[in-house]
Amino acid sequence: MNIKVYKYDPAVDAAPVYKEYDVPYKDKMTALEALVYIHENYEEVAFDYSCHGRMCGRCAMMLNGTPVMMCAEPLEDGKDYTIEPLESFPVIRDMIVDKSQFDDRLTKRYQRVRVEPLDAESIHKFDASNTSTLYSLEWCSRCGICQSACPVVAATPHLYDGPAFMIAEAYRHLDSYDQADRVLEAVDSGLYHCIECGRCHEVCPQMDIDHLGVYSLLKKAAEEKGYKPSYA
Amino acid sequence: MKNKGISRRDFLRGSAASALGLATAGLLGACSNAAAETTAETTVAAVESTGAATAAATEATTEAMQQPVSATTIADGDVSKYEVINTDILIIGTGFGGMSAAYEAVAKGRQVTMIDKGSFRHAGAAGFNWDVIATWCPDEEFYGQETYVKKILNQQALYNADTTNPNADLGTVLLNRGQVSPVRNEDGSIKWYGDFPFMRGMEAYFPRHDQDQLVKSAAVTVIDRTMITDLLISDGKCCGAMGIYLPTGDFRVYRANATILATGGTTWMYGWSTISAHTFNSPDNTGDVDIAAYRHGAGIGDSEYGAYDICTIYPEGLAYGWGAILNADANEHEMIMDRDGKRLFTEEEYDLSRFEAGDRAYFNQELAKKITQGYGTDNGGVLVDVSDAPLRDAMRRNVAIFEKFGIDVTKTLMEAAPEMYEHGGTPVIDDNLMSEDLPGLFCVRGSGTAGMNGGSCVTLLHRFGSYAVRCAIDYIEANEALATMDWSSADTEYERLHEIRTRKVDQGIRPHVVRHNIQRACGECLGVYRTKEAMEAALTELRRIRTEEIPNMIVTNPTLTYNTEWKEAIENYNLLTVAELSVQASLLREETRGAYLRADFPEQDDENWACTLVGRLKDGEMTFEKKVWPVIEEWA
Repeated sequence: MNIKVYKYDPAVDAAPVYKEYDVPYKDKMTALEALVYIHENYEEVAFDYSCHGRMCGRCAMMLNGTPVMMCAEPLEDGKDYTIEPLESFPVIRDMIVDKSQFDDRLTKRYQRVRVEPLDAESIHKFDASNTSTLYSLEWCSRCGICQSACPVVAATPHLYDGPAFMIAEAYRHLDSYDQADRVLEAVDSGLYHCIECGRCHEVCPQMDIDHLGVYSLLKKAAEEKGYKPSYA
Repeated sequence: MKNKGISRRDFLRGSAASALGLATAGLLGACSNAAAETTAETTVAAVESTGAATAAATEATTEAMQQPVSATTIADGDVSKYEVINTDILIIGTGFGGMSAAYEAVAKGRQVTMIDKGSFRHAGAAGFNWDVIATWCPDEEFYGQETYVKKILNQQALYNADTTNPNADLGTVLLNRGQVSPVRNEDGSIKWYGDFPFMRGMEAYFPRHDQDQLVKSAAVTVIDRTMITDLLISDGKCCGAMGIYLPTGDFRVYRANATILATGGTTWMYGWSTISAHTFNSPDNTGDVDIAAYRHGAGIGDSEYGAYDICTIYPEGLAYGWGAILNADANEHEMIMDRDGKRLFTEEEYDLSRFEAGDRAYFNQELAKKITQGYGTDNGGVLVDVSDAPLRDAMRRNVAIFEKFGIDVTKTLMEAAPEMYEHGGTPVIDDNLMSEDLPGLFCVRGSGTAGMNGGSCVTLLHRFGSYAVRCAIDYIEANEALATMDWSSADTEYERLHEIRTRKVDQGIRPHVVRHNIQRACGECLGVYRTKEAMEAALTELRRIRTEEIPNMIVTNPTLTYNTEWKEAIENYNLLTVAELSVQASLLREETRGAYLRADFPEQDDENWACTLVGRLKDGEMTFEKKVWPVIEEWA
């Protein structure tokens, strides 16, 4: 396989360059295995990974222009590939990007809001009707792949916060313990600017999450509350 | 003014530091204290400039001088090599133990700074975003009766932690930390994962919610992507830690009234295949702080113990990744098959209830016996059959990943092998979790707290994290501040790290080569079945690596910008020492105990070996001694 790799050290280089490497295919090879092969057999490349099993989200990168979780992405023998840092995040070096602001903002959405703490009795009061959806949302690894792939985020980031934020709002909306108006927050974050193209769903490494179903669930709740904006 | 050339880059670095988001308030607050001790004329903030940064010139501004500097720097009037960040309680590690410590500290009105090597919410095992089963003992009448508790040697520490634990009802505590536990009964009540007097469990514990909720408090400052490489030791006391901020390569010293060590087990030394050691734990855990303590004379115990379960090893690129494997722990014995596809553990032959109660040591020893009796595959593994197994949802979802790679695991027996998911190897502590050798350093998973279990677990980390902070607060309140601060360890460490980065050697060896040699050596001998011959061969290899490879290890790109090769080279020193401690201790312990079976000493020998083996650096040599713990009467 011919694999082209993005190289850029902003503290040293004038501009990014691409270098090409010949990588031998092996049975059921992952994209991360190929990158490790290049690092170990040609020259050092900066990249990051931890869980090596699509949970931590640290190895999210662009593979032939599509954001993927490198550790769980199969390669095809004989095909050529280009590996680049995850789009829409600032590059620190090579494939390492800075997702700290994204993470911090997402954390704020995930923080639960309540009048008072739960106790040993009140923990059992929960709407069980949506728990399977809720469980599926738990698997969002906050890797940023959906954000990177979203055409609306790319075109109008001032209008739409992005899929990861909608997942976070839906999570707390379905959390019976949370007492904030998550539907209002979702609408305020641009829920109705989502064009429902399904790109987020196509690229998400967590197949459990039904992105379009989640948006639809939020919109239904928004309409029941009279939050549908005039532009929608 | 005595500053010797502050570059624009250094000024920009100052700005970057104040843009650390969550870190901002604590960091600047700390700076103002440091600045108050000095004057504008003598406050110099420059960092060694390299590469393109050197060319970036010379404009000094008063704003640039807001950065804190070290005492020695001010006294010498020389250029500072590092920033000093002051905090009340420093917590190294943002995982289960670190979080428990931080929640407790905040509840006690303290200010904490948390450091992690990985990116916050994605670091270590707690950053995996996985469906953890949290368990706890719901009835204090049964404290001390949990299966693994019986194997803990420092029972006094656990007794102290358990009987003062403000989070005894861990389920309610976690649900107040952002968890929802979506595994529910029809009426909405929680469907416990086991509900016994001595153990209650809750599935679908996703630790990131704890992290989200924790940083609601302004008393918590998180500084991530920071690799701690040494402890700040003054007058024999631990006064903080130091290390590299990876995105820029800046060296920072964290000064603290007490330091909590809450990093994870060093399993990354165990084996290697394409992208992973034979573990589903995180490469973030390389024993950096444990071995820093060792270099300062602290004893390290429990190194011989690992904890193991079974995971699929094909395809190789997915092997050992928990979100992309089929995993069988002791309680999932039903899906483990021998090389012929027959159940490995049957009720006719085994007390399966011991497996189901989480007696992993029993499980691992019996697994080792079966494999050595010829029931294992040619690769020393077993087969996993999920066609008819009651898979947890967290594992069932992985079937789709195999489908993506063209494998239907519901119709195929998959080869699997024992993987080491936890490891002991931590500083020896007293009953209050403080290092016996370095006062001021509190260890959430110090040796003796897990003992032959082979490493800690979520429930213990929650108990000990909370207790560590309460002990640390007692320590702070009982001890006066030092009269003088010795900064020499920071200067020495700075030189050590940059020598590693800039070392020039003919025919140098890249860090990953050294790393894999360490891993292969350990992979051969630190599994569930251990032979004297394999361990001796590994020890010879590890000593060869230390004398022949480590001095010739080079970083091929000297950049300061997120230099992963530099990071790996620094980690190798620690990984190698953990490996040597582990192999040496295993060889010395001439019995079978805990999660592994020793071929030449297959029986447990309580008369001689009911102790912790403490490894210690004396006159440059690794030495060992036995430490015997009292059995506490309350739980006898």
